[in-house]
Amino acid sequence: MVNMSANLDAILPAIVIMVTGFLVLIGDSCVSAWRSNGKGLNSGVSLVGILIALFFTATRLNQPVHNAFSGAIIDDSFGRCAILLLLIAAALAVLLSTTYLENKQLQHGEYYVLILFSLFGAMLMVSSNDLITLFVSIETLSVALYVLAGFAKTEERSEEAALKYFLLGAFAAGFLLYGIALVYGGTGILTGNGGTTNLALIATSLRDLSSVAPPLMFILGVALVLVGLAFKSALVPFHMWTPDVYQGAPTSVTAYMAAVVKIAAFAVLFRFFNALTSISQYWLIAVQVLAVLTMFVGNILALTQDNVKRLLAYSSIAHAGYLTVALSAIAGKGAQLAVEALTFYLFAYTLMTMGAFGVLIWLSHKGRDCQTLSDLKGLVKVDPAAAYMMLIFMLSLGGIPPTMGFMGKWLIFNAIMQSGQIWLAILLGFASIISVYYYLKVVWMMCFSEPDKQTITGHAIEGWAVQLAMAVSVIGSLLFGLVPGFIQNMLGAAVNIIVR
Amino acid sequence: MATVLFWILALVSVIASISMVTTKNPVRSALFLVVTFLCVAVFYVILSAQFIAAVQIIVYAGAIMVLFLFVIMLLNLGTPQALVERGSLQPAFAVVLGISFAVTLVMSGSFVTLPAVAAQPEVYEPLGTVRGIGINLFDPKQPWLFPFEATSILLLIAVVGAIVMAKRKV
Repeated sequence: MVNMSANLDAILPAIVIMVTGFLVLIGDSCVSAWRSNGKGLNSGVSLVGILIALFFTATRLNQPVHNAFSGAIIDDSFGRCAILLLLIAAALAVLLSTTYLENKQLQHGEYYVLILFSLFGAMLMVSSNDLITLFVSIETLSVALYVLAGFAKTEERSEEAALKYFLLGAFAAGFLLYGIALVYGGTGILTGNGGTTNLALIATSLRDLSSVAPPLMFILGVALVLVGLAFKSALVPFHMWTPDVYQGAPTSVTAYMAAVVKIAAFAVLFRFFNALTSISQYWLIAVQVLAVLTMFVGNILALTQDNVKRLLAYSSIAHAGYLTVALSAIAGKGAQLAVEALTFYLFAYTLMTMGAFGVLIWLSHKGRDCQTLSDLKGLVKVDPAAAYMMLIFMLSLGGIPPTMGFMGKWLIFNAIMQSGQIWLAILLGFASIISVYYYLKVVWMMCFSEPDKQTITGHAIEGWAVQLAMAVSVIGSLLFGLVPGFIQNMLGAAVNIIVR
Repeated sequence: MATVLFWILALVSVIASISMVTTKNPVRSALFLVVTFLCVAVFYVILSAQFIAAVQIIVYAGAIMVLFLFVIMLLNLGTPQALVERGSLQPAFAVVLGISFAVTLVMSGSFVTLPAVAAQPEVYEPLGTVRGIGINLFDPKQPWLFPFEATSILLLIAVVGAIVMAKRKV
């Protein structure tokens, strides 16, 4: 018996976001026909929709697991946690966008439509339990982001970013799809009665047949899926697009992209490899190598950057490395801790990255985009509030107590020690030490240099939305850094069920 | 019969795709691509996936190829000099990695076991027809209905995105 309303109930937050997207799409063209100054309407409607979805997700965080659409969608606590993070990131991104778009004269309704639909794709991604659903939702997220990256059509860099992201993304999608096909064939060979793309079925058949080595075709498929997903989450050596795209895209898009894509991609990576824990001897080494490469290459390349957006892009690559370390801990005893650390770190990453980009957005105003380190020179004398906020975000990104970034790193460290991969924990420590240098370089520029004629003066007018987003990020990073117990308990209770 | 057809067409499609990559004239390259598409369409028929074969010919060999040729002729890509690269290690890397990938594929048995599987088809025969695909795609008891519906949002995004990108000034 197929109960459609129960199925739809399982993806209720995603449906709310989708409907909001349609409302903005239709509302924008209707309103602009008879009112010329209905500019705040699109962002307002988007924000209300996101908050409603946030409410629905938060209230049902600990409900039992629910399989929907004949196994295409799984509505479990881990998925709800990830959706919660996605919605928080999207709400912050919408707040950051309003003034910035106004200044750059990019204030079109389509911007919010694309944000909402890509959010819809990301939400389906984290709750998909079938590789085909996964592929469709990844494409939904990606296609919207390709357009958003090139949203500033008059700027060459933005167009370059869109084209680069699109071409490489299409290539990565090919890898992912080929991998899915090989996984399907491989499970067919393994079980002997037809293949499957359902992650739960793959997990059970791998566990039941754990005495048989999985066919090479299956392993090859897993490798190709890993390549496809590693591209999305910008792991080295699939990271080449990241700095150019992050730099070229409008800053508000960069903030959204940095947070949402990371959350969705890592949730998916976790779901995929959680289904494969019984054959961890085949994939663990690959994930470990990716983690080490990503941490070190990201951090070392960030050392020489003098464009803050590029610096944050490399730093986001490094953070993807730390998250991959947490991912490799799910294969052992520390699985429970690893999931907790992964989710906590994603939350911390969202707040601090959004905040750091938020400061850049706050400082950008008409005709002047705040991007380079010299723009920030001596900022503390010109705009102390922005400088101190940036200081907190930089300390948090560098993993210095008492910020959330430190707590997150500590949890990952703990999880990886529990799973017995001590060498990975040591490398994580080294990589973090390297990273402190370039975060402190930004702080040095802001606090200990004299302002000169290059320093950015003035800021966005009527930027209350940006201020709100920055305030939320600062308070969150500090509060949950000092009192991590609340979030930890919430996540701990929520992800308890998922680990097998 | 099917096996003989497979091997002949496999040879043709491999030769056509190699010539597509190596030829310097873009129009010829596009035409070689058509040959490859047609061969792949026949493979689909051999695998009793008639619907996909028809779609392959209509969409790829038809619509997509016309677009390709339009772009090539509009951009007037007659001069292939710009496409030649010199002193790059890329081809060497590509050859090494390609060969190792092919070896892995052969070792995984996907080349060797394919005809054996075809000899005793496990596929439910009418699966490849329009009716078979439709029944599977729209059956709420199968997990394919949801991704199919989600594709509509994907297409909507593509439409909105194309208009946003194409419209110079609003």
